[in-house]
Order: sequence, then C-alpha cells, then structure tokens
Amino acid sequence: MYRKISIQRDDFDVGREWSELRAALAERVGAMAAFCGLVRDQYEENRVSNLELEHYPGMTEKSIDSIIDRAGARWPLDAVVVIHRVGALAPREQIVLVLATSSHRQAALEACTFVIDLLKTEAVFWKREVLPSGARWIESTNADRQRSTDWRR
Amino acid sequence: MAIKVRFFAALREQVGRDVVEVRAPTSGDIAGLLANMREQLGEAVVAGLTAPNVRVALNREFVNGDCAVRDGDEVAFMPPITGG
Repeated sequence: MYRKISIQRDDFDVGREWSELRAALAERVGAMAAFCGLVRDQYEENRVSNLELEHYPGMTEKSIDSIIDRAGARWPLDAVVVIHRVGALAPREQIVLVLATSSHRQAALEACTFVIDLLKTEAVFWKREVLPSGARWIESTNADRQRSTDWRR
Repeated sequence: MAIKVRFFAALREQVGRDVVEVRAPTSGDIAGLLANMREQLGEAVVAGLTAPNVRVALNREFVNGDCAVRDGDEVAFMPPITGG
C-alpha cells in the first residue's frame, strides 16, 4: 500500500494532492475518498482567534503510521495520504487532509472516516485555542473518544 | 550519559522546560526515574506527571505502566492528545 505522511507548517493544496495521488494509482483503483478539516471559528460560546498545534517530531509520524497500518489491515486499500499541519492557524484555515483509495467506494469512504476518527484520539498532537479571554489547551471530547472506541467493535 | 526527559503542551508549561537531563536510575525503571526527577526538579513538578491521564513514551513509543529505562533513552510525559 502506498502511503504518505506529512507534518508541516505550510498550507497544502487539496487539488494538487488529489491529482498527484490519482496519477500514481494502479488501474484497478476505482474510488478515492477525501476529508479535509478546517479550523473552527467558534468553540462553545467563544470566538477563537487562533489555534496552535504542537507535535512530537518522530513520534507523531509513527502514531499516524500505526493508524494507517490498522486501516490497511481492515480494508483493501491502495493508498492513504495524511497531511497534518502544526504551528499557528487562523479560523477557516485547512488543518488536516486524509485521502484513501480502494477498488470500491465503501472501503475508501470507511477507511477515510476511520483514519480521521483515530487521528482525533491517537495521533500525537496538542491543540491550544487562543480565545479573547486567554489561551487554553483543548481536551478531546467524549464524542471523539466514543467514535474512536466504536471502531474497536 | 543520562536520560533525556521531555514534556509537552500543558505539562511543558507546568514544568517550565521542554527537556531535562536526568541521572539514569539504578532501579532501571520509570519509578526510579521519577524518584531521581523528584530530587532534581522537586516534588511539585513530579506530582503533575503521575496524574492518570498523563501518557508516557519511551523512545517515541507509548508505554503502559512501568518499563525498563537505560542511559541514552528518551522518556516523554504527555498530556491527553488532541489531533485531527
């Protein structure tokens, strides 16, 4: 299975990533699924002025690699791409891209969902929100933890 | 040689440093490392590292419970992660 993992400060171009992956695929691939996450401008009642992402170089890549391994063991995938940004991000900026490809749509769509769900709870990143009232580290939500747990069934 | 201990996110702010060199414990485990850190950094710092939601990594792999640590290892203390 082809895989690409990139942790970067710079923005990414979804169209370019999509085209590059499509060009590299085998002819049997019939489905590509994509998810792109954006920085929200609102958290609870507060307007977010900025989001800061920290990671652990070396370990973060390993944690994503392990998530892709598990996706590959579960669905017949041809490729998975994960691009995750770090540093300071403003609302509406792109923060994460997941691409998954397979022969058929169901595997590609489900694998894409699986990877983003596990990125929430198992990829080594920390998010800090800068609010008008000050900065605070974000904790994972019960809903995120539940979605991750649901995949263990 | 020593053990390189790293702190991330909220823990880095609590400790006030992102990395410290700690003498390798004669016991060769995380419990011994924490004891050495207590001497070096103070009780208050170490208390925050033993909270149930703090995860520990040895050489960039998560560990559950205690594990063997040696000179030259890198141990990281991490608050709950929030990716995606």
